[in-house]
Amino acid sequence: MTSIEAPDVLFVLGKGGTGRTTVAASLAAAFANAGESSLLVQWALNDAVSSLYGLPDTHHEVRKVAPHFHVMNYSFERAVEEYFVSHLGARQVFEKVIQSSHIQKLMKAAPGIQELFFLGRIFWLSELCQKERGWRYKRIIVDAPASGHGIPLFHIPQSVARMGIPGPISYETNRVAEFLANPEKVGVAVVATPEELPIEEMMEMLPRIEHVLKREPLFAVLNRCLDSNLFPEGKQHSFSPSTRWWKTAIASLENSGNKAHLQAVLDVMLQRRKQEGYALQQLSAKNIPVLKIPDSGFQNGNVRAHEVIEVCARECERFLYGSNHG
Amino acid sequence: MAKRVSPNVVVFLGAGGVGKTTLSTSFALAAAQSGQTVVLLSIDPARRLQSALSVGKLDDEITVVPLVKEFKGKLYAGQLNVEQAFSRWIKDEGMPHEAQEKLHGHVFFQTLVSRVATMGDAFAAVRVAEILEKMPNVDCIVVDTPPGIHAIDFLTKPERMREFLNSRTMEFIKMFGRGGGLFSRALKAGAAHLLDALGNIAGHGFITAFGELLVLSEGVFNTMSNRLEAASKILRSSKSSYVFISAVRDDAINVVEDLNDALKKQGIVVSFGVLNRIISSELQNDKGFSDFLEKHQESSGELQVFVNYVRSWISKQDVALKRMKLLVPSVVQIPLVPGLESSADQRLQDLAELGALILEGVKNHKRGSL
Repeated sequence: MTSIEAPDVLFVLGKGGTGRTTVAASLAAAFANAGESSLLVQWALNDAVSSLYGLPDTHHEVRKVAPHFHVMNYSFERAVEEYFVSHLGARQVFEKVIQSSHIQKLMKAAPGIQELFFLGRIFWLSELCQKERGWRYKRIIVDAPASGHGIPLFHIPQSVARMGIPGPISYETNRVAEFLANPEKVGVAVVATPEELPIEEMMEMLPRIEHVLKREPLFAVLNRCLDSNLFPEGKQHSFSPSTRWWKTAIASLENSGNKAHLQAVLDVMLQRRKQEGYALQQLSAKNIPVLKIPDSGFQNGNVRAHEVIEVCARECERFLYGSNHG
Repeated sequence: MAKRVSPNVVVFLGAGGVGKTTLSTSFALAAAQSGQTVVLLSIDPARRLQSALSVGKLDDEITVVPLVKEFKGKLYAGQLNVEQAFSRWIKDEGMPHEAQEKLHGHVFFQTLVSRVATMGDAFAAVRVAEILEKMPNVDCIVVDTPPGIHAIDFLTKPERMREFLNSRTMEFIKMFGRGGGLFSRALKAGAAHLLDALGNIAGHGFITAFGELLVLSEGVFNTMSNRLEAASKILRSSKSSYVFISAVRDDAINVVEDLNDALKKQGIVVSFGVLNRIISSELQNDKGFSDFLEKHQESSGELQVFVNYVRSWISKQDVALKRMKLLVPSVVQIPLVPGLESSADQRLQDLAELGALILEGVKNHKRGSL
């Protein structure tokens, strides 16, 4: 049993530069480590994960990168083809109609079509692909496009469904809208780093997510948190530069004029710690659980990229399954 | 009357969270301080930055930033907001009120707006052209961009934009929107079977509604398309400079490398970069401090964590600097500024000083155009 009641599909939303892809990959790795077959769905120019496992980039094809851990990089063109050819069994329609250059342009230009197919693909992976292909992923983690794009994603099926136009697209869209509305099927996690702007943006995202999904995010991830050894819990707002390590550092300076420079380093660390404390307070007021991931870049010198995922995955596993797990 | 020299455009590029918005604002302030009339197009300034500019909430309408006497020039600022810009453009087209209402209330309007929002890059370019049209007395336009490689898609992948704004595709799609003569027109275009088949798949109403939206927003899109063309010309000319911003982060340097490759393919050479938030050389060269770092790397507890933190920061910034210097001949390093990261009130003067460093660099390294 997980201690977080994770749904089948988890959308990971967050601004660029917050480590959203790393977090999404780590969550998928954490489920895989616990023996649950997981699939990470990216929608990006390049697959960012396979290479970390020493494998060539994948595209639309699902690739297994580790036991129980699969990744793919969604392609709109391929999803359209599979929808018409495999799912509807309409190869003729696909070749004669969909592939015509006019319709290709129309599909790329029409607002929301790409997003609709993306969501349709997620729905298919969760609900239909076992029957159609015999694949089964217990956990699907979606590395959603950066935040502005992340939330409109959820609006699209609703606005199409609201049009009430009969026809296959509406039928499929309604199914997807219902799927998204079901908290047992779909959940959202938001990612931010403990810095002013990302935290501000995450807090602004919360009501928008609640508005469109009618529920709050399942949890928030604070990525690249500072080691709490430096700033023990409870002292985060009352930090005084009187701690031993700080005094020792200042005392070491040969040129006292450099104190301001060292103070600047401390300022950054304090600021991160303050933002972390602020975010924790705001999120706990909303009863949103928080997964804290330490800044692995600053643990012990340089950590290699796939090790970052392993380190983060361990934190994720503890969070998802509770500390007694394993 | 002498023809006015067209303004310089300075575009800030880089990954998310590297300080693009702060540095582009600083740059704009420095340029205003030196006597120029500057327009700053920002993406998502933090509240702290907005309150530093004392403009309340920035929005898509360009407003004057009140500056003290020390600033000889003028600063205007606006924040890119697709929805607001769209509404303004609809008004600018002089559409009848009814048509405006109908467009705003259209079932696809929101998705259209969010679709345009996903092309943030092109949107910013369109805004640059709009400013050039509407504000003829500007010396310099400073453009903050969305994070990452997509910020220059409108330059590197113009075909993506054409897919959207191409007039022939538009014509084709619009046939769906014009009720009456739909099928005769389609027949003329030899596309009847396509329309029919597509209608059967997607639902005729779905396509009709989409066509209707395009008919309604045709004027807006034509203007957008023309402005985008004008902007592309300016942004490829020697009037425009690009500044790469990175922080001490591998992924941020990767983004700069990708941006550089993409711009190079377009014949645009970037010669200036900023490595932001470094640990100053003064601190690194302090013998006492480096001995301290040496001494405590093997100790335990908080001291060791702090020392490792600082050491790995320094080693990372060395790598970052090397990688950046391989890309651009000139890299300005901006140290962590005490106070700037933490104080509640950012002072315009401090920001302007920061921006002056970049202004100097851009002047010295005006890029050559091919």
